[in-house]
Amino acid sequence: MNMMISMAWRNIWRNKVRSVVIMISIALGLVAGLFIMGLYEGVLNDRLNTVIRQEVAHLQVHHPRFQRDYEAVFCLDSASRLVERIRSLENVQAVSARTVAPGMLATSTGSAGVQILGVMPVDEDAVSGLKQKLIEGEGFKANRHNQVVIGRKLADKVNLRLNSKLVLTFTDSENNLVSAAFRVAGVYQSTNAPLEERLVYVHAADLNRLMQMEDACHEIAVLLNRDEAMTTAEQQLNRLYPNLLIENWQQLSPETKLMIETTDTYSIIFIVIIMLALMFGIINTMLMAVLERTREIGMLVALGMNKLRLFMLVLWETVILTLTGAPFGLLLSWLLITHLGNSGIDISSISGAAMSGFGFSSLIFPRFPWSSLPLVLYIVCITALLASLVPSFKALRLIPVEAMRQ
Amino acid sequence: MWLLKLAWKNLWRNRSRTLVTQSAISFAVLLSVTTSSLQDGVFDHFVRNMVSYYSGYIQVHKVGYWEQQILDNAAVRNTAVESVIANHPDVNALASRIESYALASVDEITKGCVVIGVEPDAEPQITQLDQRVASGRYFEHNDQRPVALLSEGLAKRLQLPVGDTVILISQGYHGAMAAGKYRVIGLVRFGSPELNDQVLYLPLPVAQAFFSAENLVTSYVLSLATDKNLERTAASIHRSIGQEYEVMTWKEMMPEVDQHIQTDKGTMYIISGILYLLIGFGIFGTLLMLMAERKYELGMLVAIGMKKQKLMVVLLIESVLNVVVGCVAGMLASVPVVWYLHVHPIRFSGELAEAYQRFGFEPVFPASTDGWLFVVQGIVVLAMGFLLSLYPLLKVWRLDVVTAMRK
Amino acid sequence: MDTIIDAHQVTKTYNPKAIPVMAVNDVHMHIERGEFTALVGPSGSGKTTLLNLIGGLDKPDTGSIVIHGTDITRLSANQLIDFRLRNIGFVFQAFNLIPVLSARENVELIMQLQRAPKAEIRKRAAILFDQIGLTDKMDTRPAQLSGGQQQRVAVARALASRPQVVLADEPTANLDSKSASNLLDIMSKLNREENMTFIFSTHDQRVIERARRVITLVDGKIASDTARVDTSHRHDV
Ligand SMILES: Nc1ncnc2c1ncn2[C@@H]1O[C@H](COP(=O)(O)OP(=O)(O)OP(=O)(O)O)[C@@H](O)[C@H]1O
Ligand SMILES: [Mg+2]
Repeated sequence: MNMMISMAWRNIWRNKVRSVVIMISIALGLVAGLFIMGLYEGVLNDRLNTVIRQEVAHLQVHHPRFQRDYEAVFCLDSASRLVERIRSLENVQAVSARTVAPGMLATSTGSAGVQILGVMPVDEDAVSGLKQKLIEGEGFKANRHNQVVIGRKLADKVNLRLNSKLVLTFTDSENNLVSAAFRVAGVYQSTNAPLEERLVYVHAADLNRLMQMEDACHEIAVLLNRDEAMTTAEQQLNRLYPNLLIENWQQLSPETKLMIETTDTYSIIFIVIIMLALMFGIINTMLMAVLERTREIGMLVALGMNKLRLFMLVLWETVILTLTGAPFGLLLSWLLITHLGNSGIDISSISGAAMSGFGFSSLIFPRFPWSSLPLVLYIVCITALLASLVPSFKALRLIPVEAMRQ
Repeated sequence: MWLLKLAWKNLWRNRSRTLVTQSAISFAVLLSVTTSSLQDGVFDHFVRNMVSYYSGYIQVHKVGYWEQQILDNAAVRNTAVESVIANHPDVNALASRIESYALASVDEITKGCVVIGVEPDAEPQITQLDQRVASGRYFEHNDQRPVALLSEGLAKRLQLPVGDTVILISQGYHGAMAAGKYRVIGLVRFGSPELNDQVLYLPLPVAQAFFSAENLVTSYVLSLATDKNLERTAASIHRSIGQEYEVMTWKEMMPEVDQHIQTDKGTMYIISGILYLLIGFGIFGTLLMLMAERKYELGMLVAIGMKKQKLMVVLLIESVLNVVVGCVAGMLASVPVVWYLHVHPIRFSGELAEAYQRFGFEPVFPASTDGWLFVVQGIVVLAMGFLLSLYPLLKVWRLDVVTAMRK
Repeated sequence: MDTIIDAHQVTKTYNPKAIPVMAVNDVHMHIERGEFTALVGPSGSGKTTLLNLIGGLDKPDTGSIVIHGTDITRLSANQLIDFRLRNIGFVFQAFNLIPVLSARENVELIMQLQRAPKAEIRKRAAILFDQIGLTDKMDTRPAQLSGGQQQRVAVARALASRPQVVLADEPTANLDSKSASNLLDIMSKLNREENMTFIFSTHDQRVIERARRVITLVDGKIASDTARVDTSHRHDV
């Protein structure tokens, strides 16, 4: 055994360039695997952040029938107490209570179907960053009634400016049609065009008054300080309010979940392809190494080295190369990903596509994929070992008499 | 000539070595073709799914409609324009729509909704609307009856079963009052809550009558054979139908989807780069061992009086033969692989597949069979192979006879 | 006496389909323990082929080869490997040694493959290096040894596992006459001291003179088989 390892070890140093090429290949394979994972984690993290921090938040609380019917009566009573209670829970960063009314927005030139959200401006800023999304106007001002903040797409569509007047029509809690005039106090821009076209924000006090609702709301959005705390928080809320519907972002934004899982799945496909490339590199190089040593292997067999040992000899060589290449790869990936994670990769310069200003960033910030590290390491090592089987078998198939005639 | 012969003999004499080298190259081609065909296929599939949802690849409106989506910006139907569009070689199908908002009410309940008037026969060619019917039936051929298809979510909100009647109220063309009663003949299901909660379909003439917008359409929706010529097709249609119309691609209509795809394409380029790097290393490793193995032989040839230049020519010929044969073999080998992945696309299962099906997407990653892919990837590897073949030449150039002959 | 090799009607044909070459043709051979035999004959007469057959590297088409009671023509490939490891020592014409192992490691390799105890391996290696007179070169890599020294190490390695017979195919072909005679000295010394059976093929007349039995092959057949006066004592004193 010792002899085998020491022979394998010395074989490695026979042709240093070759061994370095294999080690670099293995390191590169590892870097590739981790980098792809890191890249996607960066992309997904970015999108997830957008979805959670700008759109749906981590969790939302509704009356169980509300989302099906959008009826004003399916509201959460004693909203302020509920909000305070939720706010005091562990890991909760911000909470926003919203009164929701589907309705129509009309101006002198046109109309559009909208979703009216009555919010407490400070709370909404904390949960979905409404204030940061404003591109025109300053948003809600204290002591003014009937202000509205609308999306840029909607503003363009129905020709609204800052301070324009518009009429919102919706049904109140008694199912009467209510219309009221509002003035545009701000225009926001988001990365989600359909939402930007549909969601309009008004002050909760105004909307509740118009809908004849007292201390009530329809939706409570809960932002947590850690993504990982979501399941616990969800369970806690479910325990506290068994009669309410608690949903997480995955349920609220199935498209995002879909996208994330799609990306996860196809990143695995590409890792498999990259691994095939790595495997073929190792196979060829090791195969050449075996062919180079034909005579010597023939002699070893003639002297009585049995097949298992010969097999192990070539296998050990690959194992050692893998074990030396892998740490390099790890270190390199870590350096690369942390560096790019800080500076960002400009995707537009790579794909050649102009990233237009829709609030999108063309920078990707890869994150070191700690969670998939064992998987990638495992895949790379298995790949290297599988690859070494081919040259090992080739070595076995050499016929000593013929090998030595060369 | 004798150099060529020598090179040829060298290749034949050590067949396993030649085979390893050539298979290294062809495997490189095979991998890069497969990768790029999967990458292309995934995006094609994704785009096809996205546009078949609602928007189509291209829409044609009267100028200004997109900015201000109101009925007053609708276009008068023009059969000349329609036939120009429909006869464009890249256009697969064409459907007209009229679209606006309305309040839908049933008894006490009133909800806002999007009313879309569609051509019952043409629409399914673009959005497979008929296949999205979850209960009830789809419109009939040339349907003129006052009937409606509701999205499931909307029907739930209105507590409206198939067979009942819904009342629509809205503002029609030029501010006319619009009101009508429609029998619900079916429910359609969409994976996206956006659509599922608010759309209501009427046959086109019925919708036009409702909005007092006889012979008006808000949009022509086009489906294309492929996403490849999207911009070119849009521009050429625009040229031929004139400035009164705006021609918009799905990229302009759904910039956020385009952004996501661009980002993903960027990451794909990075992945391809990594792949090339690994492939390059694989080929280099092979050439390296090749040279190590042949050192003695080459040293001997120089020792017995062969000029290094001549030897380099021989090696160059060998490399060119190896690389070319490898590339061609790789391209040939990738045809069945890609074809297989096209016919039997990688199918995924579990939660993700369910989610896909909810959205009405097929849960597969198909491969693209675009012939260009093969050529482009073949050429990339060919170039890489030639570049790496310089290594043996360099090695010969620097060959020292005495050290080479020492075993 | 103790029979080591009993070959009977051994035939080996190459290219049986195209242009058949009878490399070894109906050979009978009987060798006792402790013999020191030279296999001679013109180039292409079948010496290497015969040695390969006896060593179990190749299989004859017909006939049987019994080595110390075992008919090796009946062994499977795996059994043959093991048989070689325990019963046959090889010395080849050139490039005999594993380049990445030192001289001592080359000698120890066989014993390690046989899983001999470590202490014994050490002891045996030391004795052998003493016998071939290379104790000071034990830790040198083959590349740093002369051709003659390499062949001496190869002989030591062949003897390391105390095989039944040592087969050497033109061991002196690449050596100058002084090194050749030195190698022969060592071989005949080990032949006597360890009572080791040697068969070696050669073209060299001076080497032939040192053998005690000479078998001549012509076209794969044994043309003559003569015992010689024991001349090795000349160098003894
Ligand atoms: N693998 C092979 N295939 C075909 N013919 C072979 C093969 N090996 C040996 N021969 C032929 O068998 C015959 C005997 O060869 P062998 O090598 O045994 O001769 P030899 O006596 O060792 O010659 P030399 O003194 O030159 O080493 C020769 O005619 C040779 O051409
Ligand atoms: Mg011979």
